[in-house]
Amino acid sequence: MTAERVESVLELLTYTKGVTGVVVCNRDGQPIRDSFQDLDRTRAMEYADMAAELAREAAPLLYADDTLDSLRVRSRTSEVIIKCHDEFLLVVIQEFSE
Amino acid sequence: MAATGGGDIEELVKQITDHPGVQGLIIVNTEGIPIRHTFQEQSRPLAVQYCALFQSLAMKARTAVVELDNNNDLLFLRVRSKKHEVLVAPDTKYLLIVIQRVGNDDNLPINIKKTP
Repeated sequence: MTAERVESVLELLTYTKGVTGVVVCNRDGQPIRDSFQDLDRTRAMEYADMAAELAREAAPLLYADDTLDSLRVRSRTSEVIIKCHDEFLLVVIQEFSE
Repeated sequence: MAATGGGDIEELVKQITDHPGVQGLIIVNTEGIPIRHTFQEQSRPLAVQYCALFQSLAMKARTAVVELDNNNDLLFLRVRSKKHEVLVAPDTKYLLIVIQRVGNDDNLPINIKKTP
């Protein structure tokens, strides 16, 4: 996958209706890319940390020949979708209006 | 549990297990004991294992959600792997765990289809 394709996918996700944030981080919870506007990346760090922790916790629940594909954490106001890769995690946050 | 609304629980269990692709269902109480499960071959040890592992994951997810926003709370959790998908619905008294198969129609880079 070329860098342009990665950019276009991230842009498509960012501007999807209902999506309030997109974070790309590594398995250790270090954010690489994010769509938030704050300079200190506080929200990106928080979501990256959450994603890395949950992915780490979920991996041992599977059989030896199975691999974690994604996690969806639905709360009262939002849903966090964590797509897992060998090295990276893609976190998409979407909000609900109830 | 059978004394209070046992029929409703059985109706719910049947409704979920009759759904295509569903492989198992477990209802857990607050002490982590499976009070109802639909596994046949592996029976209770597998249900107990699923209870312990996914209850722990649900608690971790709830902690993460509350850490981000104090007024928020966990409603639902889905853990999807290459072969299976586990749905966890926590409640005050019980935890519902459903295991279902994953279809092979997820090859698109962005899957815009509706989730099952």
